[in-house]
This record gives sequence, C-alpha cells and structure tokens, in this order.
Amino acid sequence: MLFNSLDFAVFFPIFFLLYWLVAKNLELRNVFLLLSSYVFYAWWDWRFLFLIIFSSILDYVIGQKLGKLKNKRRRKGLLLISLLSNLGLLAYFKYANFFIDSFVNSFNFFGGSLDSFSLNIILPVGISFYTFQTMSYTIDIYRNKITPTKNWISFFAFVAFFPQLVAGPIERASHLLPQFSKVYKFKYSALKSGLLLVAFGLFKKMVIADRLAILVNQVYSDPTAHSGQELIIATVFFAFQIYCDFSGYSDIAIGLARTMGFDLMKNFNAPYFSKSITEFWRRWHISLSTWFRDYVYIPLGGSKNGTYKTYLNLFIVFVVSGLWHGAAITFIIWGAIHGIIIVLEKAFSNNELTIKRSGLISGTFFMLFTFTMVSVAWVFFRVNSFSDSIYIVKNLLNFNQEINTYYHLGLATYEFKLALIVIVLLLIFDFIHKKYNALRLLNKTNFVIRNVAYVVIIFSILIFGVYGDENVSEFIYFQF
Amino acid sequence: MMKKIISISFLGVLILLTYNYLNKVFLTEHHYINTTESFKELTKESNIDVLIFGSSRAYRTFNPFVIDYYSNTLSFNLGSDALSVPFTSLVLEQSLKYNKPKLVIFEIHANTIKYPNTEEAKGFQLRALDFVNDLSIGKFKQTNKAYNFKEFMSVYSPLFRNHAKWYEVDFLNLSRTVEIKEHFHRGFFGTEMEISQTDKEKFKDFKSVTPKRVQKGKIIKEDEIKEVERFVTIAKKNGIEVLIVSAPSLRTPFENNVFFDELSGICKLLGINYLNFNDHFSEMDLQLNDFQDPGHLNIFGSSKASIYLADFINKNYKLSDRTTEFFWKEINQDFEIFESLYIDSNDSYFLSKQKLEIKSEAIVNSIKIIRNRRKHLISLYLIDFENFKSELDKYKMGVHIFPVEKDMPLLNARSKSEGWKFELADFYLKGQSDSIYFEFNSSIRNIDRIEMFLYDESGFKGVIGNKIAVKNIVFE
Repeated sequence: MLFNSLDFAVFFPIFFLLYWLVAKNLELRNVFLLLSSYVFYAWWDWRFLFLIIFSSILDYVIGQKLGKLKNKRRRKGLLLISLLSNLGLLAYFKYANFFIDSFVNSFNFFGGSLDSFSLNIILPVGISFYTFQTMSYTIDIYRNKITPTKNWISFFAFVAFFPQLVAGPIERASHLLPQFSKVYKFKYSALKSGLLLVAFGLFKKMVIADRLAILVNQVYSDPTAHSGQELIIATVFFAFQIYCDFSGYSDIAIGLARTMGFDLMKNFNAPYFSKSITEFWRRWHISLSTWFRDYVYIPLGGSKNGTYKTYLNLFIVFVVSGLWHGAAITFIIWGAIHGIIIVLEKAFSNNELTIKRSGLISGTFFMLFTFTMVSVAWVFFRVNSFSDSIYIVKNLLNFNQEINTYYHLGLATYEFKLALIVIVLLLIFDFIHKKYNALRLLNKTNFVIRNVAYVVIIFSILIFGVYGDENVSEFIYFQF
Repeated sequence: MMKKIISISFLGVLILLTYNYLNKVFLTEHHYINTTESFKELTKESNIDVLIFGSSRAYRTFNPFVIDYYSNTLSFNLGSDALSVPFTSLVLEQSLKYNKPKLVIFEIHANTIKYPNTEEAKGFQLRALDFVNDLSIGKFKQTNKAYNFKEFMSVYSPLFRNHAKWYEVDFLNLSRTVEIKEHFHRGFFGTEMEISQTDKEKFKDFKSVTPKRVQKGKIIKEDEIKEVERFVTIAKKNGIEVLIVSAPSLRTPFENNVFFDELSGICKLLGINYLNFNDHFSEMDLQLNDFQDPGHLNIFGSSKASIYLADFINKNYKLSDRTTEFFWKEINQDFEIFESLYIDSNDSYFLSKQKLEIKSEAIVNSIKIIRNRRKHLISLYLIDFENFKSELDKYKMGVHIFPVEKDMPLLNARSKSEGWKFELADFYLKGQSDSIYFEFNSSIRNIDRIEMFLYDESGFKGVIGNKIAVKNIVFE
C-alpha cells in the first residue's frame, strides 16, 4: 500500500480508530498492529509476507537462544546463521541477477564463452530495510547491548511495523522494540503534530518529488537527446526529487507512528545545507548511515587501526552502501564517489591549509560545492545504464545546443515555474526548520494563523499534488 | 479542552468552506452548468411543470421555448451529454429538491440505456453528477455500478478530478458557466448547422426505408429494465406522470428497431406512455436539413419535434395553463421573433363553400392552402370524397402556381427557361384518405392564382373534367 494512495487514505482512518479502541490492552493492541501491518504489506503482494514472517521467526528464535547461551563459539555460530540467512535472502532476491551478470561478463572478459541469462525474481518491497532492522536486533543481543524480548508478538510487530516497514527509517531494537511494551494514551498534541508531519511528507512527495520526476524521467530516459543545460536541470531536479521523495516518506512514517504514540528516529536534517560530504552523511538517511557505522564500519575496525585502514574502512562502507541501494555497477560507483570524497575530506580535515567553512561566504561556497558534488554523484544513482552515466558526465558542460522548451522536458511552463517555486520554498523551510524547528514555531502562532496554515498545506497538496489514477507513483526507496 | 474544541471546529469549518469553494472553481466549464444554474434560478421564480431528461438527443431535440408556447405549459430540459439511464434517476432526484414537476419526459435510446463503460462515456456522466452534489447512499450505489473504487474521488470531487489543470483555473471566479453563442433555451441547446453533404447522401432514404426488426434474444437487459423502472418509480412516488420518448435519429431507420419495440413493451408494463419520434418523421415533416448530424436535430428540426411533442402533451396530459402568469409571459416574450425565424410559419388560406367542379363526380367544396418556410401544402375537400375515392388511381393532378408580379423572379429554373409565368407541379392521387392533399416546394411566397386540373395517370393527353382556379390568395 502506498502512503499517497486512495487505498491508504481508506485504510489508515479505519486502522486509527480501531487502534485507539484497543490501545489500552497491550497484547490486543500489538496483535492488531501486527495484523494491520501484514495487511498493509500483503496489499502489495501477500506471497512475500512469508519472507517477513520467516525473518521474524528466525531472529526471534536466535535472539532467544543468544540470550541464554554463554558459549562464545556457539553464540557466534548463531549470529552467523542469522546474518547468513538474512543476507542470503537479500542476496538471492536483490543481487542474484547482478551476480550472474557480473560472473558471465567477467568470464567472457577473460576469454570464456557464456550466454547471459537472468532469473525471474521479483524484488520484495522493503526487504533491504526489514532485514537490516532484524539483523541489528540479533547483533545487539550478541553484543549484549540489549536483552532479547520474550514477547514474540511485540517482536513481530517491531519487524513489520507498517509506517516504516518498506522504506525505513531503519530502527534499532533498542529504540523501537521497548515502545511495543508501553501502553499509550491518546494525545491530541501528538495526533496534531503527527498529522502535520504526514502532510509535510505528502507535500514533499506529491507536490515536489512527483512533479520533478516528470522532467527527470523524460531527460534520463534518453540523455543523448538533451543538451548540457537540460542534463544539469534534470540532475539538479533529481537531487531535489530524491530528497523530497525519501524524506517525504520518512516524514509520513514518523508522523503516522507519532499519531499511534510511537517515536521513530529522525532520518533527514536539511542535507543540502551541508558544507561537506561528511556532514551530508550526518544529515542524509541518518538511520542507514548510523547503521553502517555501527554494524559495518566499527566491526571493520573503524578508526582504531591507523589512518590508511580508516580510509579503507570508510571507502568499503560507502561501496557497500552503494550496493545496498541497488544491484548495479552505477550504484557501486555512486557509493565509491562518496567514499573517495569522504576519505579526501578526512585526509585534509586537519590540514592547516583547509579553509574554514563557517563564514557566510565560505560557508555558502562549500554548501554549493557540496551540493554540486552530491548532484554529480546522483547522476550515477539515477541513470538507467552505465553508458548513460558516462554520456551525462561528459556532456554536463556541453552547452552547444540551445535549451529546449519546457514542454520538451516533459513539464508545461507553469508546472516548471511551480517546480522552481516549491524548491525555493523547500529550501527556506529547511533553513528555518534546521535552526528553529518550523513545526514548533507554527504551534506558537495564534490559532487562526495556525489553522489557516494547515488548510493551506492540505489544499496545496490537493491542488498542486501529482496524483490521480495513473499518477500514483511509488516512493523511490521502495526499490532498495 | 474548550480551546481544543474551538480550534478543531474552526479548522473543520475552514476545511469545509475551502473544499466547497475549490470544488466550485475546479468544475469543468461546460454548458450543462448554464443549464443547471438556469434551472435553479428558474425554480426560484416559478414551478416548472414539465421536466425533460436524457442525453444530448434530449437537449438537442426538445426546446422548452417551443413546447411552452404550443402546450401552454412551463418546461425545462435537463438533458446532459451521453447521460445514461442509471444516472438520470439521480438527476431526477436532485431536480426534485428544487422543483416538483407534473410530467417528466425521459428520452431513451439504445446507447444511453447501457451502463457507461468507456472512459469517454464515464467522463460525460460527471457533468450531470456534478449537479447531483450530495453524499447519499443512492448516489454511491448508482455510481458504484459504473465506476471503480479508485475513480470515486474524481467522481465526487471536481477538485480531485481537475486539479492537474490548476494553471487554467481562475481561482476568483465562482461561475463556471460558458458563453453560448448558439441557441440556449431552458436547457435546450440548438444549432443552425446542417448535416454534411455526405450524410445527406447516405441517409437520403430515411423516410422511405423500412426499419429492420431482427430479434436475437433480449436487447434490453434485465438490469437496464430495472434502471428504467427506478426512474419511473421515483417519479410516480412523487405523483409525477412519466412519458418516455426516443428522439429522432437518421440512423434509426437503418438499424435494428427491436430495441424500440422492447422499450415500448416495458413502458406498457409500467403503465406509461411511450412516443418514438422515429415513427413520425413524416408527421413532423422532418427533412434531411433539419438535422445537424445523423443523431441530432438542428434548431429547425427541433422546433418541429418540439411542436409534435407539445401536441402529444396536449392530447395526453392535463397540465394547467400557465400562459396567464406574468412570469410565463416574461420568459416567452421573444418567442414570436424566434418563431418567425426558426419555425416554419404556417400561414394559411381557406376558401369554403365553392362547389368547384373539377369533374362531374368530384366537386370541391373548400380549399385550404398552408404556406410555410419551405413549401405549400394544399388540401382539396370534396363534397363526396368517398364516391370519388375509387377513381383516384386513374388520375394525376396538375397544378399551375402563378406568382404575383413581384415574386416573378422567384419562379424556378424550368419555368424561366420555358418562358412560363407559373410553376408546374403534378401528383399521383392514389392513396389519399379523406381529402386530396398534396404539397410542393417553391420559393414563391405570394401567389396570385393557382390552377388545378386532372389528367390521365399514364401521361398528359389533355385536361379531364375542368380546370379550377383559386384567385386572390391572401395568407393569414
């Protein structure tokens, strides 16, 4: 079920009413939450529900055993079973074809002769998210950071919690799981702020991301037909599209959870105001970057084994992160670009020649510079093929052709102007929100202004949102 | 707590008001909005006695302006593009909120009795459904028959439906009516356009062809019958009489007409009248150039059909005479101008007690000549027609029409080339029922003299009997 679909618009109010009817009874509430989450997921494809249930059973049982066992070797063995099973599922559903292709290409490259083939595998929505979430549970138990839960319903509900099931934030058991053991009282303020976050998320997704997607899809479907200026416009638009798409989803997820009394972690924090790539990754997809830090970077040794090993670890983390996003060489390149820049930033961070990034002019310069680097890297993230990415990078500064009409780029003139306006509004909002928390500011205004603001947000989505039968688009991160 | 209640209520009211406002500005601009707005306005002033429902065939065929004048009633046409039967019931129910008519006329044809199943047909229904702006279970049930769940928001809300065209919307303009350059009379929407030459050729035999009747199972399905019943039941529950009609179409004579037989049967079972205009082309005197396209009449044709409908209403329903009301006079005050322009003016001339002997056993007692926009219609009433009837097969009638001096230039080409001062026409007499009736097309408007005579059916070998003449014809 998509958050921006009519199905969900019917599902959630019914769920919400029933949820608060049973909220006082903890067991009943969790059972209801679990079943509702399964319905939510099964709406897409019920067959893949068994994968979630399998993952949940596996990690629950292993978690229980880990909690009881003292023997280190056995504990390690159990952890390995959990990791291999979860990563095995991920590898099969997400990477099987990529590995087959890579193997065939390598074999042929070295003189062999193999015909390319691919398996007919459907990628289960959200598999990258919930497998990471369940793995973090067993790893944390293994590390004795948390104790295993004895309530399987709570655990199953934690794994399948529908607001964040398919696209995060990737929650840690230590943060989210205990919340399933608490009884919540209905709070008007939580409902209000939760719904407001949902509205912001829908605005980002439907008004900004899906509008920009029209132009981006048009240009990226055939980059060779477009001039350098157009490729730049499309790439910048994609930078905002993916931000609004993904942070919009996170806002909705956090908002929905809040209306139920749950607290999900913040996933984005004005990433395009970052003055370095290092800072960017502290502000972008926070739940994933911290996951990689805790479960990949630190186990690799982190920064404890000398400078070069640290650089290597950082680079590995970002390449793996690229691979997590998609089974294609372009995603690996995208990760590698970020990895290389972060290593360079790390290498020069203590250098006396490093310019301070805090002044207004230098700050703005680094902000723009970082955005440019991020955007160039997004080219590899968005392209449909490796050859397209090479063409785009080569031609980004090729201004020989005249810019075509906006219609040629897939957007009507008014739509194009609106796209620019909403991007500016988004940046203003992020700037204010970063410093003051815009929602709290709004809460402090008098009730007339506040309510008018709510109405403006709601109807802006209804008027300017890209939706309708053929227009309900999936969130980009569903594919990861 | 009180603060929260006030705040929530304020937000709720604000949302409702904004939603309502936006639903109005996002309405598709279309002439049906002119229709419904005009209907609402009119019902504030007076009660409408006759309401017409149906598709474009309804609003192109039945002109309340004409109907009112010829049946002394007050009528309104709520026909909407491709409006199908299931949704017409909703329009009827909605209209009853404004006005309770005495008679509803429902135009049905083979396409509209079906549930809309194409994107285009579904889209057309929305024009009428925007008029039915309620959230009743009845509307939900009916719309559920044709639209799927995902289409519901668009069905119910113009804002949802048309939001993608936000840049075309004038947010400060609440009126979504359109400027209509053609004829618009109380929901009737007429054009002066004529059918294309190709269609004229294609349908030239529309009056003489015998329609096919091939029965291959029931054409009208059970659920479609139920929808007709639903409409009739709603009307009857409200004490309203129902007349079901099928508007004229040039295609009808060339199609399978079993549909009309079945529809007629359904009406009989429901105890209501059915009038198929396709069976009365000649009585209405419909010509090819009375159609704007094969399926729709133009302003001239619609006037003929409307007069025919008015006549049917006069004969079959007892409606109160509204002509004495000031309001009626006010809204119909321009009718005579309209009539002179678009309705064949039936000027007539009548000559009685003449005893003109056209033949010894055929004595013409009186003569009636009707002149309209296109032709002259002549009836000769004989003293003892029954006696002469058996001989009609033997003769043809020749007619010489002499124009007054000023109309001489209007003589047809043949007369001009022959150097005649009259136009010649001739007719077979067989098949006449109670008088000798014939008609001829002529551009001549003012006739000085008409001469009539009989001659042999096989060809002209001289006048049989006497030539009779009618002079000094002054039309009234």
